Amino acid sequence: MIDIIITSYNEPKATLRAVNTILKQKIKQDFRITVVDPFDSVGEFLNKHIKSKKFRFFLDPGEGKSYALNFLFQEYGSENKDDLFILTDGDVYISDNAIEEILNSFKDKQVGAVTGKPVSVDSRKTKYGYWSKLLYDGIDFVRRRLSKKKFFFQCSGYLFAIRKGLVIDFPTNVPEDSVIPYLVWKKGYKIEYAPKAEVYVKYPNNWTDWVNQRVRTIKAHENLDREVPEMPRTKSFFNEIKQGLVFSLKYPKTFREFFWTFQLYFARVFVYLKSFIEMKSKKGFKDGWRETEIQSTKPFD
Amino acid sequence: MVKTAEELKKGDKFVLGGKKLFVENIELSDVGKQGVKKCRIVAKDEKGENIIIIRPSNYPFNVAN
Repeated sequence: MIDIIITSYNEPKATLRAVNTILKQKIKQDFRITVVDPFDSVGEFLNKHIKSKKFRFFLDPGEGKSYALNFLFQEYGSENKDDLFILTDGDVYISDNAIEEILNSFKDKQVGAVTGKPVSVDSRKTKYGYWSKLLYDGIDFVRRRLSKKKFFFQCSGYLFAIRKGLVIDFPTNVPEDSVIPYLVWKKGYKIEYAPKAEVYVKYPNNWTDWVNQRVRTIKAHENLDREVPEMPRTKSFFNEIKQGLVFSLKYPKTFREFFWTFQLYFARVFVYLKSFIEMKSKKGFKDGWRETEIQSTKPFD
Repeated sequence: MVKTAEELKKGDKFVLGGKKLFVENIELSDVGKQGVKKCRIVAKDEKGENIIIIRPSNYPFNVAN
């Protein structure tokens, strides 16, 4: 059984698109899709528009994404290692071949987790769109390299998959796309990158949303040092400088893009500083559905 | 036999996520934002690995005799 879990937060129309994109894929294995959302109204909307028996809605009790995932890992888990969990979000959608590409990667029995490739749907002609392309292409470059060397790397929370039976619980105050692959890796399995399994993401398009989203992500990742100190980090301030500086200097094609790249350096320093200051003042990351909604990343709702 | 999360005792056995688990310890929280108490259950699988399970106190478990 392949369990595809879509976590969403009050984005019914976008989530409907995410579900329909999966339902139209040619999946030979038995599968079901579960949407997890803390809003009853989202369940009502989806049940009204989706008639497939493969679909079900799980009303999260509002305890946060990691709590909901732990719950479903335990309820849907099995010891059959050919069974999979595929995790994605309600505000993104996947390419037509994404599930097939992920399943192909799992043909290697040593592969325990597979991550897809986030692709920004924003235009490179705007500053935030350009930043999204630079950052996503940067992480694509890093993942290809680490995957080739068979090293550990963090997956993308927008789309990744694991074999069932490998993780039945995980800490809730760290990012699930980091800690789950690490727990899989610790059991002796490989992490694989499937760059043809694309997941399309709407990026924030203003400073406030961008800062809020980045700060939340950074705080979550910085918790890893405390909770899972032995875990190799893919996403960190120093890794960004070490692995991203040369890449980012080669990336711009026009004078305007060079200017935006330099703005991004200052913006990244700013969000890291803001995150560290907030963590010092005890406003660290806690699992829970978003404290601040990132409105500009919602495509329809 | 069905037991709620808060009725579980050390040594109780149940199957979750395809794994046979043995209850090691249970802690009951105060009433949270959802209006119910929550149980933090520490269970061991057959390999001796600890699993943390958090459920509302009235959540049903099928416990083996």
